[in-house]
Amino acid sequence: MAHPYENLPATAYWKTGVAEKNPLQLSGLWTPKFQVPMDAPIVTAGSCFAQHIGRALGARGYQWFDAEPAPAWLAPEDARAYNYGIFSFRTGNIYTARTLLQWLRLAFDEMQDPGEWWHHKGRVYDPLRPAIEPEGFESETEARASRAATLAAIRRAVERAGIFVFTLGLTESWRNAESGLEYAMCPGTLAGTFDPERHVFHNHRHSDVLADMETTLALLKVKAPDLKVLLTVSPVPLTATASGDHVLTATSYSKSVLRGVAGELAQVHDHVDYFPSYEIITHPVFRGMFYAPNQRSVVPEGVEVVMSKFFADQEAAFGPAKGRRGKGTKGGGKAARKLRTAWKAARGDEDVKCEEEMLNAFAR
Amino acid sequence: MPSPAERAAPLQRAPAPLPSLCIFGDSHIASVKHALDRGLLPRVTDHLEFWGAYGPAFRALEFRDNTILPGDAAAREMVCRINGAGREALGGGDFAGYLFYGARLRMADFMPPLLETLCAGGHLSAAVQRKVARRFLRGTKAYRIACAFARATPGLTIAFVPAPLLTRGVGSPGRVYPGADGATAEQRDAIRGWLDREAAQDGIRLLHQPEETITAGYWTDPAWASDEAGQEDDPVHKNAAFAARMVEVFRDSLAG
Repeated sequence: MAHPYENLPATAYWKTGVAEKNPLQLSGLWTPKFQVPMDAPIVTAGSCFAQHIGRALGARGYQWFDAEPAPAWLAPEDARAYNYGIFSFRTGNIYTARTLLQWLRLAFDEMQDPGEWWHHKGRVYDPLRPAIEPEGFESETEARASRAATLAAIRRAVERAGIFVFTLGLTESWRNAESGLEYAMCPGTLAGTFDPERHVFHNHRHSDVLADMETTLALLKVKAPDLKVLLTVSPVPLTATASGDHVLTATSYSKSVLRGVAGELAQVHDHVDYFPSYEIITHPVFRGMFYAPNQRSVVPEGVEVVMSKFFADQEAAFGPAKGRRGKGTKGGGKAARKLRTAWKAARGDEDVKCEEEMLNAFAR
Repeated sequence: MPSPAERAAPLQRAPAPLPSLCIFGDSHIASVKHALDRGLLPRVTDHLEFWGAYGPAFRALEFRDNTILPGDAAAREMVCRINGAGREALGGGDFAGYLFYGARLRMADFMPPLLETLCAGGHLSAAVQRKVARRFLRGTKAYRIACAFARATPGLTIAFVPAPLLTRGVGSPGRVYPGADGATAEQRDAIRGWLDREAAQDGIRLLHQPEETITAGYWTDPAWASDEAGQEDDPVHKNAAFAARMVEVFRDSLAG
């Protein structure tokens, strides 16, 4: 009698799908649910690894959408230092589902500005993005105006984007005990002053993350009904954990939760997909070859493999990418050239900007 | 004989004229000369000279030992013709005051794209404002020369009139900024303020084209377009009345 495990494709069996393959020749890891067209504005946000995805898309002539571009006359190195062109808006890294939701709620007036600003040596820092201005802001008024511009950029990005790429990064977070505001970083690391009475640690559970992401998707659906969402999970381990666990097991917990939520959301929602960059970097079959010697940073070759699989799987599902490049205007003419210039300007020394790295400064 | 502006504002006490003034620049200084020839300039100095060059010859000007020198024969011939007083080199201590006019510091390159950013709801922190202003100013050779003059002779009067915004409806501007069509005087003033703060640190006073010469967000009103023969399609250069207006602004700046 026949059973469901007969006559499956080679990719469905470990032996033929993995064991008999050179890991670099693994294919079909992703069966995309929807096409990422070259002419669709793509918004990127999330943790450090999301920067790689945005860069790769921009470099290939895809329409990475910079909703808050660097002002004219700002030198490329300054644009990068001031976090222009890193993500589609100047939020800095968004590590948790809750902070993404906070940004969106603030942008769409579904949350009141908590009015919390951090002060240090006469400068003002935004607790939602403490590294956004290297020397902080001159005043709360300036910080507030800058954040308002970023919130406007988020609205623009959501309303105009075709694809929203979000990379889930962490479950561990710090909050204001009274207001519940979740910070981008633990106060006192990049800026601010840690106060154990006011600042509480929270390690999101699967149900927390799922609920926050469901709320996020519902909000996006209202504001941009046709928007498609592509989720990834950052393969970059935690720099440090405040959970009390070993950082290795804390990383496993965090990434497992995020991976589970991403998979679940992709199963439930037609307009949500999950791209397995996490597996490509972290899975034992790749033997850690894509990590730098610190076993944390992802080397450029790893990013290249991830993105080449992204484009290959898109092509396998939908045929060669069509768009401006396909019309023979390499990279898509003036607009795309401008985009690539912006990318080159922003990417600087190719390092990703990762605020969480700051925690390393506290490592013994 | 008083200029039209002096007649219009008789109650305003005119500042004492500078003992000597050099108006330095590129092709824009032609409009100042036209204004002088037509008797439109207010009296700002007891001794006025022009010094400069246009086109490639302006780029050929060199700066050494606090002196601007023509870098080749063509530039030498041109500066002598424009100066008309036999001054082949322009030293930083030759005059009591210097008015840099145009001289490739093009407001049409700086202001419109930043107005677009502001009109789109963008925000530049004070730190970023400083960086963009500094890059614009210090990226222009003539501005760096003005700074060097100021450093070499403390107390010297140095002002800089940036090349104005392009004239609306005249010729074919290379680039338009539709996002800045609705820019307000307040936004323009904010951008001028960024530049003024940086220039003040260099000892330079920037003299901006007055609001009454600006229209439609980021253009010079066509009433101030160059009316010289052959410049009918020229959005860059302005007429003698505009130059006279800018020299009035300079005069007012001398009054503090």
